[in-house]
Amino acid sequence: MPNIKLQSSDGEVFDVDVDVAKQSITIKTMLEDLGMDEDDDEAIPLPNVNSAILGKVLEWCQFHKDDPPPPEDEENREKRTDDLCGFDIDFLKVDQGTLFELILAANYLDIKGLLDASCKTVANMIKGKTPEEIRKTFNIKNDFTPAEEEQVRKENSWCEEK
Amino acid sequence: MAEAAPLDDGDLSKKQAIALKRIDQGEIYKQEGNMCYREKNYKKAIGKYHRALLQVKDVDRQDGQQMLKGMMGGVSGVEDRSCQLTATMAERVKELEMSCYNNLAACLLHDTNPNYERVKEYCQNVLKLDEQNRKAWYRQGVALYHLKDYEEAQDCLNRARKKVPKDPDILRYLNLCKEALSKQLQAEKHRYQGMFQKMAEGEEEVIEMDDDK
Amino acid sequence: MTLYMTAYIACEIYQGCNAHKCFAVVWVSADDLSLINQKLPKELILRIFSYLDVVSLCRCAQVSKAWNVLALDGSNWQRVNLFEFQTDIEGPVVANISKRCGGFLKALSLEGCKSVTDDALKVFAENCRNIEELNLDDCKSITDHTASSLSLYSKKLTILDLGSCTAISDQTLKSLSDGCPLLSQLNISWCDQISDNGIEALARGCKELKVLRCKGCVMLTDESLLHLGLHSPKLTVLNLQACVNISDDGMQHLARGCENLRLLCLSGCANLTDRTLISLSNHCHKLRTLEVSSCCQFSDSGFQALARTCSELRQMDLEECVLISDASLSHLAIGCPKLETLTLSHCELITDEGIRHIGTSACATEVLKVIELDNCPLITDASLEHLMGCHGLQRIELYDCQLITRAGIRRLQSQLPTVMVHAYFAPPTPPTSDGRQRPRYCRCCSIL
Repeated sequence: MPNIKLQSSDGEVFDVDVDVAKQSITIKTMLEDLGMDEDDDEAIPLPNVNSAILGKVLEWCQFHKDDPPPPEDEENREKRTDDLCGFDIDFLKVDQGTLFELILAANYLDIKGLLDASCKTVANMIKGKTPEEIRKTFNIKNDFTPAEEEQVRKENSWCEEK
Repeated sequence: MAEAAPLDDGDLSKKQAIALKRIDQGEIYKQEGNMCYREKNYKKAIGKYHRALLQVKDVDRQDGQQMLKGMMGGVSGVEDRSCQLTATMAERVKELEMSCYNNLAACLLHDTNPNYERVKEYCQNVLKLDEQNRKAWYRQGVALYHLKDYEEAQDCLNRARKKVPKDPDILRYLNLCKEALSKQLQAEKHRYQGMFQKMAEGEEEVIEMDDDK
Repeated sequence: MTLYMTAYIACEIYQGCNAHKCFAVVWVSADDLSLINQKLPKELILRIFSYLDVVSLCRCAQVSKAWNVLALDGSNWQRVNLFEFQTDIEGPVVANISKRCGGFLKALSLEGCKSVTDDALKVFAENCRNIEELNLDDCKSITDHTASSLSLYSKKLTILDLGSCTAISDQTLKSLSDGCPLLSQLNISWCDQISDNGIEALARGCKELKVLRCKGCVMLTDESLLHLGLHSPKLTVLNLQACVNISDDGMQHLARGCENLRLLCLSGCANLTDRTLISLSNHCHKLRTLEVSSCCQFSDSGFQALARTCSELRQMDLEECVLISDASLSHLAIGCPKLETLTLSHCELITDEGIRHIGTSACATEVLKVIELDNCPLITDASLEHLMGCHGLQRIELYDCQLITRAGIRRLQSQLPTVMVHAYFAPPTPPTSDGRQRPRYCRCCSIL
């Protein structure tokens, strides 16, 4: 299998199996335009992804390289978040900084499966929590004045009336 | 819009400096791509243009951490990824993306078996940023002609012609579209004629059968 | 409310600035130490929010000013289902959602929200003019006023469920026919005030009507069927269960005009005779599902006609068509090679001979999945022998088939190990003296 070289923002070069790298639509498009082989030995710089994150991303791509392509239909995407596979659940048990970096990298490289899995993981961190618990989880500052806070609480109280 | 870009290039934050570096690098890749294109090394040019695009993609939310360490001695605490581009920088990014996509489309058209869907996609990317782009309209017209969407192709080529009414390439493709359309019309007529004929024959057969009885 | 308004204005400004992605507005203040806000741009936080339910979104809206704007972004409020809120949901909630979602809302389900009123739905209709799917099933409090609001504002409505909204009358259907030209699916089951006038208006006004469910609309007569036949040629699904006053004449008009019918339910319409089946066989050749349980006047000659032309039939429910005999089954066996599900419960004249036809038919080997023979007193283990070649069979019902034995079922299961057999056998000996009754639960194959 031919390989390509990907270079992280901090200069590390990863020699990657083409079939693994093709999970990234960005890379796949490029390879297709080049006729599927990048005979160039020059690495492809990815200035938005550092080596730690690129390593993780490629680990994910390696595991999922034989997956069928994800469905195109964005509009009717299901809202469920309980359908992550075991590998993804463990893979995404990381600190928040890494998790958000993975989301950014998946978005930059256009890897839909990883983007979905990581976004769902964050959604699961939100679900079932009160506003105060959400603030604590994500270290968000409450910038409402007491009057404003009361106002938004009222506006959104209907969802609590069961 | 004006408020969103308050700073001049003369007074840059650290992050903006990094963004600027990436834009510079993107432009270098583009120049290299243009060189390759002139030498008719289209494959190499494609590689360069894609590298240029990767430099400026999401440049407003860069991975600051690692590069900063090398360049500026690192940052402490939480890093904010968002980076506000100056108006000049934003304009350069737009120009760069436009010419890269346009040139990619041109490269792909040199292929022995061009991916016309991709050419169309890249032209649309250009036209999203600049609706008046003559080359993009022309190349999209060519792609659509080969994708057998003759009417749309005609429309694109006519838009391209507005700027340069006598461009021989545009006129040639417009002619090709015209021919293809009239051929299509002929074929359709033929088909309907065939259908009517068959229907008429069918009726005759019924009459004959009645005679047999 | 002021805050809410400002939030929206802020949102618009942000979108304006973001027309080209290079213009990122300062979103996080310098003292915001939150990683998520620092690292992720708004569109990615919105993507995360797109996986949240209504309750979680409302809580996110209370976290901070920035999150308030994001959580209330219209893109997250296109499909809202309040089924879980059930009876407690009050008008203000619907009004609040309506204002929040505005033109973004395309689908809303208020199924079972019994206290939602016409007033709340008026606010909703005014605010959410792009609604396409609305489920008001069992919203008992609504009346004809709701439909007049929908008629005024909901020009894009295509799917509407008004099942069990028992207070509505023909006026509702008139309003819908006036103002909702795209309506293609309507459920008015158990709305027993609906009469022929309403159906006529509906058929005349809603030319796109494809699915109509009016179970238990007991006032409907042949006139309704006449108008559907005249004006609703696109009808593919029609449920007339328990519309007890319809007759063969109406069915003739319907069949003639609605040749695209795929699913037809006539269960409990006891006036109908074989003439109905003959009309269907003359016109409705695309029928896939036919439910006619308790149509007790249907006989072999009706099904003979049907089987001759309706070769697309896949599901047939003939429960309690008490007149049919083995002859019906032999016709179906020949004419309906795609039959997947066949219900013959309480068809007491059926014998092993009829099942033999089914078991050797074109549909038998691969296609047939379910056969229900409960309360067919004449069938014996021989029937099971005839079904042994049905390799696709998933389920067979044999309750109260007195002549079926355990041994027979065991033989069937050895041939078709995956089939689910439902049967019950009385205990071999009378209950013992301790008086404890053995439970009369369903004894699935596992017990045998």
